[in-house]
Amino acid sequence: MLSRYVPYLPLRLSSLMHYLAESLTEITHDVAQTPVARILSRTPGRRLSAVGEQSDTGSTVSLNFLEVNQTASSLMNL
Amino acid sequence: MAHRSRSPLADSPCLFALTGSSNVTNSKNPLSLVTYASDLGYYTLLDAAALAPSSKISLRTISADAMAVSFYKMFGFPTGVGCLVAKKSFLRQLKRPWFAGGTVDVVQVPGDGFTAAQEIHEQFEVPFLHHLSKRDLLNYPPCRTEQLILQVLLRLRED
Repeated sequence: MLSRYVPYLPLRLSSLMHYLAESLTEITHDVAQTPVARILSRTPGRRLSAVGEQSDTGSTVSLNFLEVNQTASSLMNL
Repeated sequence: MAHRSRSPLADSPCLFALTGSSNVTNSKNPLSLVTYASDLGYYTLLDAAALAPSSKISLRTISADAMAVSFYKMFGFPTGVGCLVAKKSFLRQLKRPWFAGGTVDVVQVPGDGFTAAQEIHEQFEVPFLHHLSKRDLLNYPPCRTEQLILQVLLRLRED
């Protein structure tokens, strides 16, 4: 079973990782318009487009959630 | 690493371990480092715990002596189950200072003599699961069957 879906994982995870990283960086505090999150881990570079391609990064995100004044309120690993 | 002697094994055996993919930094390290270290004379271990579940790995192209894989990152619970894929020539360099069930063929009792299992990989088998995962294991489908059988057996009474 695993060997059936493993070839598709890099493509699916690449799409999800790009969506997650872009979404997190676009979120801002409503008053000050400052970022809500700061991604600390490496973000994916190349976006995969075909089954069989391999991602240049893993599929986790380490980030700080930021207060309005940009101090870190918490650290999270997704 | 490159500043060491070209043949570190001549002095003492050295192991180079590379994390294939880090779940903290989200970086994938170049696997060519394994080949580089191997060419310098190091024994090499590829930690593929986070790499194997989502990447294609070919041990034909990576000259690692051993590779660690975590099964729960592939299949889910129970945690603590994995495997070490190793070359037989590498295992022969290792000395396990203790033995346990399954890793020996004969044990002398009383006494301290024993005969290690004939197959080299059996000498390194770990007979116990991660003790912290036993509670998770009880919810694992095959174990539920065992639980059910156990419950039925415990309810049995002589009439």
